[in-house]
Amino acid sequence: MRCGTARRLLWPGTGPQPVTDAVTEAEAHLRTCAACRHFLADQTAVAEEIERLAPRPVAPAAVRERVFERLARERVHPPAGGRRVSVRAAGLALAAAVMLALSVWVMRSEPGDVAWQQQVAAVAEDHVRSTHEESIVSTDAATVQQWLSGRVPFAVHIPMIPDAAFEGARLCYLDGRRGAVLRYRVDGRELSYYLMPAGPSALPSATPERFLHGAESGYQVVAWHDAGLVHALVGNLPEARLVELARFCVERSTARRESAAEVASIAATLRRAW
Amino acid sequence: MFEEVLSGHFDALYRTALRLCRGHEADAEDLMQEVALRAFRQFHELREIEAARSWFFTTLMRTHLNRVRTAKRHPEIAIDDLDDTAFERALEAWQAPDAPDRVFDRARLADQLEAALDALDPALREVVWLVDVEGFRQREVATMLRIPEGTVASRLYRARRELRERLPIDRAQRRHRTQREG
Ligand SMILES: [Zn+2]
Repeated sequence: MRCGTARRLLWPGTGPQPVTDAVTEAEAHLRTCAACRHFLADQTAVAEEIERLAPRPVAPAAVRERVFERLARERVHPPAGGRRVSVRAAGLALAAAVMLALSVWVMRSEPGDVAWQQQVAAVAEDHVRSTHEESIVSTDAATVQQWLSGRVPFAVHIPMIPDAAFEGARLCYLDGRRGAVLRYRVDGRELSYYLMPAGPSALPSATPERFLHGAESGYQVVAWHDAGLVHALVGNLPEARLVELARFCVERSTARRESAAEVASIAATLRRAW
Repeated sequence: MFEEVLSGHFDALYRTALRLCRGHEADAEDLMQEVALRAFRQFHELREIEAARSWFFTTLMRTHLNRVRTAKRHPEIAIDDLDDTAFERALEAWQAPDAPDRVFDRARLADQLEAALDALDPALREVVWLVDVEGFRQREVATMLRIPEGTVASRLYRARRELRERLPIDRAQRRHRTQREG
């Protein structure tokens, strides 16, 4: 057998091959031919060298973000009548991201729940409606707080987060429940603070002491459970930064509740909500 | 959840897209956008999550091929694939390389490999990248690219041979050889 034929038949990395007479003959050739053994060893060595030296850059965070943002838009606006680019695209992507993230958590908390895919669809649809919900643009917390009272079934206290500019609020629907979204700008990026009444399946393992972290569609999400509400901070910020902001929100909320009057008021609000 | 699965493979897909686009970041991002959308729309096709990596790469390779064909950025068929006889002749012509130098700059060698990969014929580059760098089986790559396994093998052999020829260490060796022979 010629060396070329033996090398082709014994070419490394092809996976299991049928043992034909030709292959048997090639193996016999290999036992007696040092050049062919050298050839096979060299192919392995070259492959290993390429594997070791090959450039493996990670994807830039900005690329990742843009791809996941586009996906979030795709979930909300499937291209039925051609592609539309919404001026609210960035906001849509952010809201879609938080809903998807929350859906994932609901699924994780109930591993047997096979209906979660439909939940995602329902949630996305709620989201489309929520974008047409009322909003208020104001940097004055008292004004916004007053605007929210009566529009959501719980009392909203707007924390003045350090190094964050408060920009206003809007209403949202999540899982059929009405919530409030407080809008901030932190380090030049949009930060949303979601407040929603807790449903029966919402984040059972989260407490004011225990945050749930998630990354979805390029956004970091930190959520917790406190006083009958699901709180979630969503933004294109490092997770550590988001956790730090979440801790601040919890501290503010705890300090507030130390007042007995406050506690009574929250309890009354919650009773009305349930 | 589609985004979760994609996220786990994102870096590998991106670096592959980057090589397919010869290091052009804007082109690679464009390609990634299209791949992500396509995969998202066809996610229901994926039956086993274990197959996700191969499935994403298949989507990447086919999307890339479509784009190249549509854009006519490159000639339709850049290389003549070898049949078994021609492949055997090429294998037989293999010559043992000189022993590698002891001292060389690995960082520089890595840069040179990147440049050498980008200089390869696209058909050779994608095969050597998928097999040697990303670790796919040659059979998987044959399915991804819709070419016979023997073609994957012959392209892989040619790609490795060309890469070795283009690396500076081998150029130095060839110079020595030429001097010795001359
Ligand atoms: Zn031989």
